Amino acid sequence: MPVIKTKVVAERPQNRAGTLLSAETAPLLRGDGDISHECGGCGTVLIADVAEGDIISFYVQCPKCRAISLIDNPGAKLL
Amino acid sequence: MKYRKIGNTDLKASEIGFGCGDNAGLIVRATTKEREVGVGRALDLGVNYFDTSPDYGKGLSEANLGRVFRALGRRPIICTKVEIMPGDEADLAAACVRSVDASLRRLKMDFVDIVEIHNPPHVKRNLEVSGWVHLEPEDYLGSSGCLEGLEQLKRQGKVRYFGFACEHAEAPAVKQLLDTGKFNMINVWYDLLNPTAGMPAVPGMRSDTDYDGIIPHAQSLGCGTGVIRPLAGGTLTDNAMRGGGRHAYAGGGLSRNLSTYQQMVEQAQCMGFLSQEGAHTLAQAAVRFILMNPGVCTVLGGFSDLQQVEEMIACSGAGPLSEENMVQLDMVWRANFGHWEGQSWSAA
Repeated sequence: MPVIKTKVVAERPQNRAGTLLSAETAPLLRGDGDISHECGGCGTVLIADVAEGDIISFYVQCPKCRAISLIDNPGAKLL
Repeated sequence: MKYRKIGNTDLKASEIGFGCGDNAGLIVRATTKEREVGVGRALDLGVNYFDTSPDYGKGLSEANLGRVFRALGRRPIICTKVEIMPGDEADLAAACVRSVDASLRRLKMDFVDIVEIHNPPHVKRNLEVSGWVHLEPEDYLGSSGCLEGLEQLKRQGKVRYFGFACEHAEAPAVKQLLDTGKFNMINVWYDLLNPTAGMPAVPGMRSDTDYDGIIPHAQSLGCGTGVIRPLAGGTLTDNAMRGGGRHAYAGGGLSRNLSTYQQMVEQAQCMGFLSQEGAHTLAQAAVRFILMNPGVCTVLGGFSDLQQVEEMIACSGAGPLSEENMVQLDMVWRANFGHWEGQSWSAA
């Protein structure tokens, strides 16, 4: 089961492209595949069990440590 | 379940539709089993309309929804969306085509029934806002505009009908688009906290956004309406009204704006008289109010669990709110939920 550490970022775009995905609890998204994304700051599983091609690129805030990461999915446009 | 014709299309939508966004979270945060049980139960109870978007779960809503339907062997009406982003403005038609092609790949389907432009129509384009960028009517109707892309997708058999979403839209721009007769379906906010999309302005009531009767206007032009956020982000519920926390699967914009959520809860608390044991919960009253509007085709509930699915579906066919309740509602609206000029009646 591949686990990807997210890249914590200091800045993000201030327009729509920088909109954060957020929720009060983790994981913020759960799919039906075998790829998970862990917070690069504290290791919390932010995105669980997605499959290749399920998600696009976006910024996410860890509900636990509040770090902001970029989920980078090359080939899928940033929303 | 009762069904309503979607404008001048050949589609009939269930009065209760299934919203698949982040706010309630069943489709993007629940387990596979919970998703299948929730969607399966909704389908068995007659729900035939599912509303998703590339924005919901950042693609995962579409992917999960496609998987659930394949697992259950069902194919209801599916509406997805296109979001125009900063940088797309040079060729909006091409952006629409790219977006729908990506949605179909995630859904693993050959076509969707309806595609809506997710960006709210405004009188003037604004690409720098932090939310969905604002598009002006020319962006939809002009050369290489969104409509051109949607019509191309229709010719290719990838889309049957199209429309646009009106969240935080400006009513004059919405009406300008509707007046072309080119659009089949819109999504609109219409709830007990802001009923301006479906009824004449109430003296004394202030709203952040005045939707100025978009729903009857659309109906008069053969365009259907899906109502989004019928429970005002989950605030029009017995649980929220009594101070309960949000569901563990709840997310979306209100997770980042808890003060806004709390303000909405305080407004919802003015509607507490609609929670009537043996008659309806506050949530059910909110949905039954929406269904009283003949321009509404489907109420797009967002669900966190099976209980919420069943609670909302029970509203179809349950009839309108009582005259007494409507009079009470009018009083709450006229009193602007107990506030005037930023003050509270209770503090006076």
